[in-house]
Amino acid sequence: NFQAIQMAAEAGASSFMLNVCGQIESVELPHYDYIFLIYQFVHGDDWERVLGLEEGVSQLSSKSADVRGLHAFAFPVEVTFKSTNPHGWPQLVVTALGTDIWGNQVVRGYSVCHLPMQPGRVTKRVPLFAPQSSSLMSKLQGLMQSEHPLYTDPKILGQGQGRQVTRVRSLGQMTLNFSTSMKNTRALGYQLLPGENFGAAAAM
Amino acid sequence: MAEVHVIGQIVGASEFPENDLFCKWEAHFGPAWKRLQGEVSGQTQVDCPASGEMAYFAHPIDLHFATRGLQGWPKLHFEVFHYDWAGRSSLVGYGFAHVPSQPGLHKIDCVTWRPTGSFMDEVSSKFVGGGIQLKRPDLVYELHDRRNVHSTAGGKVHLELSVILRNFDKFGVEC
Repeated sequence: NFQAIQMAAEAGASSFMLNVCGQIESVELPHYDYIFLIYQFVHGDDWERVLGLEEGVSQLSSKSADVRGLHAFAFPVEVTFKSTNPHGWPQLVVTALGTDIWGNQVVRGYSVCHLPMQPGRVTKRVPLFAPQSSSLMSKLQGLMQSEHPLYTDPKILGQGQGRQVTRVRSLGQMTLNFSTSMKNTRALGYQLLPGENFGAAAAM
Repeated sequence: MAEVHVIGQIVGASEFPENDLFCKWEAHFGPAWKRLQGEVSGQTQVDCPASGEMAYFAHPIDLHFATRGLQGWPKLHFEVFHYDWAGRSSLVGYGFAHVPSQPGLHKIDCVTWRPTGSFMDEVSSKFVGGGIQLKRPDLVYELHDRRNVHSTAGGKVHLELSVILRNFDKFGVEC
Protein backbone atom coordinates (compact mmCIF):
# COMPACT_ATOMS: atom_id res chain seq x y z
CA ASN A 1 0.00 0.00 0.00
CA PHE A 2 1.07 3.55 -0.72
CA GLN A 3 1.62 4.66 2.85
CA ALA A 4 4.12 1.88 3.48
CA ILE A 5 5.98 2.69 0.27
CA GLN A 6 6.11 6.36 1.14
CA MET A 7 7.39 5.58 4.64
CA ALA A 8 10.12 3.34 3.29
CA ALA A 9 11.14 6.01 0.79
CA GLU A 10 11.29 8.64 3.51
CA ALA A 11 13.26 6.31 5.77
CA GLY A 12 15.95 6.59 3.12
CA ALA A 13 16.00 3.04 1.82
CA SER A 14 18.84 3.18 -0.63
CA SER A 15 19.20 -0.48 -1.52
CA PHE A 16 16.86 -3.23 -2.58
CA MET A 17 17.02 -6.98 -2.09
CA LEU A 18 16.53 -9.85 -4.49
CA ASN A 19 15.65 -13.28 -3.16
CA VAL A 20 15.68 -16.27 -5.50
CA CYS A 21 14.83 -19.88 -4.58
CA GLY A 22 14.81 -22.51 -7.21
CA GLN A 23 16.53 -25.53 -8.61
CA ILE A 24 18.40 -26.87 -11.57
CA GLU A 25 15.86 -29.54 -12.48
CA SER A 26 17.52 -31.53 -15.25
CA VAL A 27 19.98 -31.55 -18.11
CA GLU A 28 19.60 -33.09 -21.56
CA LEU A 29 23.08 -33.98 -22.78
CA PRO A 30 22.42 -37.25 -24.59
CA HIS A 31 26.06 -37.69 -25.68
CA TYR A 32 27.42 -38.10 -22.17
CA ASP A 33 26.67 -40.59 -19.46
CA TYR A 34 28.27 -39.18 -16.27
CA ILE A 35 27.75 -35.50 -15.56
CA PHE A 36 27.97 -33.23 -12.52
CA LEU A 37 27.35 -29.50 -12.33
CA ILE A 38 29.06 -26.54 -10.70
CA TYR A 39 27.19 -23.22 -10.50
CA GLN A 40 28.50 -19.72 -9.80
CA PHE A 41 27.03 -16.22 -9.83
CA VAL A 42 28.31 -13.30 -11.90
CA HIS A 43 27.13 -9.84 -10.96
CA GLY A 44 28.03 -6.14 -11.14
CA ASP A 45 29.97 -4.13 -8.58
CA ASP A 46 26.83 -2.64 -7.05
CA TRP A 47 25.62 -6.09 -6.02
CA GLU A 48 26.48 -8.04 -2.91
CA ARG A 49 25.52 -11.63 -2.16
CA VAL A 50 24.21 -11.70 1.40
CA LEU A 51 23.01 -15.29 1.64
CA GLY A 52 23.70 -18.39 -0.39
CA LEU A 53 26.71 -20.27 -1.71
CA GLU A 54 29.38 -18.68 -3.84
CA GLU A 55 29.74 -21.97 -5.70
CA GLY A 56 27.49 -25.02 -5.67
CA VAL A 57 28.52 -28.56 -6.66
CA SER A 58 25.89 -31.12 -7.59
CA GLN A 59 25.75 -34.89 -7.36
CA LEU A 60 27.14 -37.07 -10.15
CA SER A 61 24.36 -38.14 -12.49
CA SER A 62 24.04 -41.08 -14.84
CA LYS A 63 21.71 -40.59 -17.72
CA SER A 64 18.41 -42.44 -17.46
CA ALA A 65 18.27 -45.78 -19.22
CA ASP A 66 14.98 -44.98 -20.91
CA VAL A 67 14.36 -43.17 -24.18
CA ARG A 68 14.63 -39.74 -22.47
CA GLY A 69 18.36 -40.16 -21.74
CA LEU A 70 17.87 -37.53 -19.03
CA HIS A 71 20.17 -36.30 -16.24
CA ALA A 72 17.89 -35.29 -13.35
CA PHE A 73 19.51 -33.23 -10.61
CA ALA A 74 16.82 -31.34 -8.62
CA PHE A 75 19.78 -29.28 -7.37
CA PRO A 76 18.71 -26.37 -5.14
CA VAL A 77 19.79 -22.82 -5.91
CA GLU A 78 18.96 -20.34 -3.14
CA VAL A 79 20.49 -16.90 -2.96
CA THR A 80 19.80 -13.40 -1.66
CA PHE A 81 21.44 -10.32 -3.09
CA LYS A 82 21.48 -6.70 -2.00
CA SER A 83 22.03 -3.89 -4.51
CA THR A 84 21.71 -0.18 -5.18
CA ASN A 85 21.36 -0.54 -8.96
CA PRO A 86 19.73 -3.05 -11.34
CA HIS A 87 22.76 -2.77 -13.64
CA GLY A 88 24.86 -5.91 -13.25
CA TRP A 89 21.82 -8.05 -12.37
CA PRO A 90 23.15 -11.44 -11.28
CA GLN A 91 23.57 -14.26 -13.74
CA LEU A 92 23.85 -17.96 -12.99
CA VAL A 93 26.74 -19.65 -14.82
CA VAL A 94 26.66 -23.44 -14.78
CA THR A 95 29.52 -25.71 -15.85
CA ALA A 96 28.65 -29.31 -16.70
CA LEU A 97 31.60 -31.65 -16.13
CA GLY A 98 32.23 -35.28 -16.89
CA THR A 99 35.12 -37.70 -17.15
CA ASP A 100 36.74 -38.92 -20.33
CA ILE A 101 37.88 -42.50 -20.98
CA TRP A 102 41.20 -41.88 -19.26
CA GLY A 103 39.51 -40.68 -16.10
CA ASN A 104 40.32 -36.98 -16.47
CA GLN A 105 37.74 -34.36 -15.60
CA VAL A 106 36.54 -32.55 -18.71
CA VAL A 107 34.07 -29.77 -19.37
CA ARG A 108 31.04 -31.01 -21.28
CA GLY A 109 29.17 -27.70 -21.53
CA TYR A 110 28.36 -24.30 -20.07
CA SER A 111 25.15 -22.35 -19.67
CA VAL A 112 24.42 -18.81 -18.56
CA CYS A 113 21.18 -17.05 -17.69
CA HIS A 114 20.06 -14.02 -15.69
CA LEU A 115 18.21 -14.51 -12.42
CA PRO A 116 14.62 -13.37 -12.93
CA MET A 117 13.91 -9.65 -12.92
CA GLN A 118 10.27 -9.94 -11.96
CA PRO A 119 8.73 -11.45 -8.84
CA GLY A 120 6.96 -14.73 -9.43
CA ARG A 121 7.70 -18.28 -10.49
CA VAL A 122 9.27 -19.14 -13.79
CA THR A 123 10.63 -22.24 -15.55
CA LYS A 124 13.50 -21.69 -17.96
CA ARG A 125 15.14 -23.83 -20.61
CA VAL A 126 18.68 -22.72 -21.26
CA PRO A 127 21.09 -24.08 -23.90
CA LEU A 128 24.39 -25.77 -23.04
CA PHE A 129 27.39 -25.17 -25.26
CA ALA A 130 31.03 -26.26 -25.25
CA PRO A 131 33.97 -24.22 -26.58
CA GLN A 132 35.66 -25.63 -29.67
CA SER A 133 39.31 -25.68 -30.64
CA SER A 134 40.25 -22.84 -32.92
CA SER A 135 41.88 -25.09 -35.50
CA LEU A 136 41.84 -28.66 -36.69
CA MET A 137 45.44 -29.17 -35.50
CA SER A 138 44.72 -28.11 -31.97
CA LYS A 139 41.60 -30.25 -31.97
CA LEU A 140 43.54 -33.39 -32.95
CA GLN A 141 46.26 -32.58 -30.47
CA GLY A 142 43.67 -32.08 -27.80
CA LEU A 143 42.06 -35.44 -28.52
CA MET A 144 45.39 -37.22 -28.25
CA GLN A 145 46.46 -35.51 -25.05
CA SER A 146 42.96 -35.59 -23.62
CA GLU A 147 42.79 -31.83 -23.27
CA HIS A 148 39.46 -30.31 -24.08
CA PRO A 149 38.95 -26.59 -24.59
CA LEU A 150 37.48 -24.81 -21.59
CA TYR A 151 37.11 -21.28 -20.26
CA THR A 152 39.82 -20.46 -17.71
CA ASP A 153 37.16 -18.52 -15.84
CA PRO A 154 33.53 -19.43 -16.66
CA LYS A 155 32.50 -16.00 -15.37
CA ILE A 156 33.49 -14.61 -18.75
CA LEU A 157 30.10 -15.86 -19.92
CA GLY A 158 28.51 -13.13 -17.84
CA GLN A 159 29.91 -10.46 -20.10
CA GLY A 160 29.74 -9.53 -23.75
CA GLN A 161 33.37 -8.46 -24.13
CA GLY A 162 35.74 -11.04 -25.51
CA ARG A 163 33.05 -13.45 -26.67
CA GLN A 164 33.59 -12.71 -30.35
CA VAL A 165 36.72 -14.81 -30.56
CA THR A 166 35.11 -17.92 -29.14
CA ARG A 167 33.69 -20.71 -31.22
CA VAL A 168 31.25 -23.08 -29.52
CA ARG A 169 29.08 -26.08 -30.21
CA SER A 170 25.65 -26.07 -28.62
CA LEU A 171 24.70 -29.60 -27.63
CA GLY A 172 22.02 -29.77 -24.94
CA GLN A 173 19.49 -28.02 -22.73
CA MET A 174 19.15 -27.33 -19.01
CA THR A 175 15.79 -26.87 -17.29
CA LEU A 176 15.62 -24.67 -14.18
CA ASN A 177 12.90 -23.09 -12.12
CA PHE A 178 13.05 -19.99 -9.91
CA SER A 179 10.70 -18.33 -7.44
CA THR A 180 11.64 -14.70 -7.01
CA SER A 181 10.74 -11.97 -4.56
CA MET A 182 12.10 -8.45 -4.10
CA LYS A 183 12.16 -5.90 -1.31
CA ASN A 184 12.19 -2.10 -1.61
CA THR A 185 12.20 -1.96 -5.41
CA ARG A 186 8.96 0.02 -5.36
CA ALA A 187 10.24 2.35 -2.64
CA LEU A 188 13.17 3.20 -4.87
CA GLY A 189 10.86 4.01 -7.79
CA TYR A 190 11.48 0.89 -9.89
CA GLN A 191 8.69 -0.53 -11.99
CA LEU A 192 9.34 -4.19 -12.73
CA LEU A 193 5.96 -5.29 -14.03
CA PRO A 194 3.40 -3.75 -16.36
CA GLY A 195 0.36 -2.04 -14.89
CA GLU A 196 1.97 -0.73 -11.70
CA ASN A 197 1.24 2.96 -11.46
CA PHE A 198 1.70 3.81 -7.85
CA GLY A 199 3.90 6.89 -7.94
CA ALA A 200 1.12 9.35 -8.75
CA ALA A 201 -0.91 8.21 -5.75
CA ALA A 202 2.12 8.17 -3.43
CA ALA A 203 2.82 11.82 -4.31
CA MET A 204 -0.59 12.88 -2.97
CA MET B 1 15.40 11.86 -14.34
CA ALA B 2 13.60 8.87 -15.66
CA GLU B 3 15.73 5.76 -16.07
CA VAL B 4 15.42 2.61 -18.14
CA HIS B 5 17.26 -0.67 -17.60
CA VAL B 6 17.34 -3.21 -20.42
CA ILE B 7 18.77 -6.50 -19.19
CA GLY B 8 18.72 -9.87 -20.91
CA GLN B 9 20.30 -11.93 -23.65
CA ILE B 10 20.56 -12.36 -27.37
CA VAL B 11 19.50 -15.99 -27.05
CA GLY B 12 20.24 -17.17 -30.58
CA ALA B 13 19.17 -17.27 -34.19
CA SER B 14 17.18 -19.76 -36.24
CA GLU B 15 15.59 -20.40 -39.64
CA PHE B 16 18.67 -19.31 -41.57
CA PRO B 17 19.87 -21.41 -44.53
CA GLU B 18 23.02 -22.28 -42.57
CA ASN B 19 23.27 -22.99 -38.83
CA ASP B 20 26.87 -21.92 -38.06
CA LEU B 21 26.22 -18.31 -37.11
CA PHE B 22 27.30 -15.32 -35.08
CA CYS B 23 25.71 -11.94 -34.58
CA LYS B 24 26.91 -8.35 -34.25
CA TRP B 25 24.65 -5.96 -32.38
CA GLU B 26 24.46 -2.26 -31.61
CA ALA B 27 22.13 -0.05 -29.59
CA HIS B 28 20.89 3.27 -31.04
CA PHE B 29 18.93 5.98 -29.24
CA GLY B 30 17.86 9.60 -29.66
CA PRO B 31 19.52 12.75 -28.23
CA ALA B 32 17.18 12.92 -25.22
CA TRP B 33 18.67 9.62 -24.02
CA LYS B 34 21.95 9.20 -22.22
CA ARG B 35 23.69 5.86 -21.74
CA LEU B 36 24.79 5.64 -18.10
CA GLN B 37 26.16 2.10 -17.97
CA GLY B 38 26.60 -0.92 -20.22
CA GLU B 39 28.16 -1.75 -23.57
CA VAL B 40 26.29 -0.39 -26.58
CA SER B 41 27.65 -2.87 -29.09
CA GLY B 42 29.21 -6.25 -29.31
CA GLN B 43 29.71 -9.45 -31.21
CA THR B 44 28.56 -12.85 -30.04
CA GLN B 45 30.29 -16.22 -29.97
CA VAL B 46 30.13 -18.35 -33.10
CA ASP B 47 27.88 -21.36 -32.54
CA CYS B 48 28.08 -24.46 -34.72
CA PRO B 49 25.18 -26.45 -33.27
CA ALA B 50 25.54 -30.21 -32.83
CA SER B 51 21.94 -30.75 -33.87
CA GLY B 52 18.86 -28.76 -34.63
CA GLU B 53 18.35 -25.50 -36.37
CA MET B 54 19.03 -22.98 -33.65
CA ALA B 55 22.42 -21.34 -33.14
CA TYR B 56 22.77 -20.23 -29.50
CA PHE B 57 24.64 -17.05 -28.55
CA ALA B 58 23.66 -16.59 -24.85
CA HIS B 59 25.06 -13.06 -25.16
CA PRO B 60 24.28 -10.74 -22.23
CA ILE B 61 22.88 -7.25 -22.72
CA ASP B 62 22.77 -4.91 -19.70
CA LEU B 63 22.10 -1.27 -20.54
CA HIS B 64 21.20 1.57 -18.19
CA PHE B 65 19.77 4.78 -19.69
CA ALA B 66 18.61 8.12 -18.32
CA THR B 67 16.10 10.05 -20.40
CA ARG B 68 14.40 13.42 -20.64
CA GLY B 69 11.85 12.41 -23.26
CA LEU B 70 10.13 9.57 -25.05
CA GLN B 71 11.47 10.43 -28.52
CA GLY B 72 14.32 8.30 -29.76
CA TRP B 73 13.37 5.28 -27.69
CA PRO B 74 16.34 2.85 -27.86
CA LYS B 75 16.52 0.18 -30.48
CA LEU B 76 18.89 -2.73 -31.00
CA HIS B 77 20.14 -3.53 -34.45
CA PHE B 78 21.54 -6.91 -35.52
CA GLU B 79 23.72 -8.28 -38.31
CA VAL B 80 23.79 -12.07 -38.52
CA PHE B 81 26.74 -13.73 -40.22
CA HIS B 82 27.35 -17.27 -41.35
CA TYR B 83 30.77 -18.66 -40.37
CA ASP B 84 31.79 -21.23 -42.94
CA TRP B 85 34.14 -24.23 -42.80
CA ALA B 86 37.03 -22.07 -44.05
CA GLY B 87 36.53 -19.44 -41.35
CA ARG B 88 35.03 -16.82 -43.67
CA SER B 89 31.99 -14.79 -42.67
CA SER B 90 29.15 -13.78 -44.95
CA LEU B 91 26.20 -11.64 -44.03
CA VAL B 92 22.91 -13.53 -43.90
CA GLY B 93 20.54 -11.09 -42.24
CA TYR B 94 19.92 -7.55 -41.02
CA GLY B 95 17.25 -6.82 -38.43
CA PHE B 96 16.34 -4.50 -35.60
CA ALA B 97 14.03 -4.42 -32.59
CA HIS B 98 12.86 -1.57 -30.39
CA VAL B 99 13.52 -2.06 -26.71
CA PRO B 100 10.02 -2.72 -25.31
CA SER B 101 8.50 0.23 -23.49
CA GLN B 102 6.53 -1.94 -21.09
CA PRO B 103 8.32 -3.17 -17.95
CA GLY B 104 8.63 -6.93 -17.50
CA LEU B 105 10.01 -9.91 -19.36
CA HIS B 106 9.76 -9.96 -23.17
CA LYS B 107 10.60 -12.77 -25.58
CA ILE B 108 11.18 -11.14 -28.93
CA ASP B 109 11.62 -12.75 -32.34
CA CYS B 110 13.32 -10.28 -34.61
CA VAL B 111 12.89 -10.91 -38.34
CA THR B 112 15.85 -10.34 -40.63
CA TRP B 113 16.40 -9.73 -44.32
CA ARG B 114 19.42 -9.68 -46.55
CA PRO B 115 19.98 -7.56 -49.62
CA THR B 116 19.56 -9.39 -52.93
CA GLY B 117 21.95 -8.58 -55.73
CA SER B 118 21.63 -9.20 -59.42
CA PHE B 119 21.61 -12.77 -60.77
CA MET B 120 25.38 -12.62 -61.35
CA ASP B 121 25.95 -11.32 -57.79
CA GLU B 122 24.00 -14.21 -56.32
CA VAL B 123 25.84 -16.81 -58.41
CA SER B 124 29.30 -15.45 -57.63
CA SER B 125 28.41 -15.15 -53.95
CA LYS B 126 27.61 -18.87 -53.92
CA PHE B 127 31.01 -19.78 -55.36
CA VAL B 128 33.33 -17.14 -53.96
CA GLY B 129 31.56 -16.65 -50.63
CA GLY B 130 30.85 -13.41 -48.86
CA GLY B 131 27.27 -12.17 -48.73
CA ILE B 132 26.08 -8.92 -50.27
CA GLN B 133 26.12 -6.10 -47.72
CA LEU B 134 24.61 -2.65 -47.43
CA LYS B 135 26.94 0.29 -47.93
CA ARG B 136 25.10 2.20 -45.22
CA PRO B 137 23.98 -0.16 -42.44
CA ASP B 138 21.89 2.57 -40.77
CA LEU B 139 19.28 1.88 -43.42
CA VAL B 140 18.30 -1.09 -41.24
CA TYR B 141 17.10 0.93 -38.26
CA GLU B 142 16.62 4.55 -39.38
CA LEU B 143 13.54 6.03 -41.03
CA HIS B 144 15.14 6.28 -44.48
CA ASP B 145 13.58 5.79 -47.86
CA ARG B 146 14.27 2.18 -48.83
CA ARG B 147 12.71 2.11 -52.26
CA ASN B 148 15.92 1.16 -54.09
CA VAL B 149 16.67 -1.83 -51.90
CA HIS B 150 15.65 -5.33 -52.98
CA SER B 151 15.76 -7.87 -50.17
CA THR B 152 15.17 -11.52 -49.38
CA ALA B 153 13.97 -12.87 -46.04
CA GLY B 154 16.52 -14.22 -43.60
CA GLY B 155 15.85 -16.11 -40.37
CA LYS B 156 15.03 -14.78 -36.88
CA VAL B 157 17.11 -13.45 -34.00
CA HIS B 158 15.67 -14.42 -30.61
CA LEU B 159 15.95 -12.06 -27.67
CA GLU B 160 14.88 -12.35 -24.06
CA LEU B 161 14.87 -8.88 -22.50
CA SER B 162 13.58 -7.55 -19.20
CA VAL B 163 12.79 -3.86 -18.94
CA ILE B 164 12.85 -1.99 -15.63
CA LEU B 165 11.60 1.59 -15.54
CA ARG B 166 12.34 4.13 -12.83
CA ASN B 167 10.44 7.31 -12.04
CA PHE B 168 8.32 7.18 -15.19
CA ASP B 169 5.19 7.55 -13.09
CA LYS B 170 6.57 10.71 -11.46
CA PHE B 171 6.64 12.30 -14.91
CA GLY B 172 3.14 11.12 -15.66
CA VAL B 173 4.21 8.61 -18.30
CA GLU B 174 2.32 5.36 -18.58
CA CYS B 175 4.11 2.35 -20.05
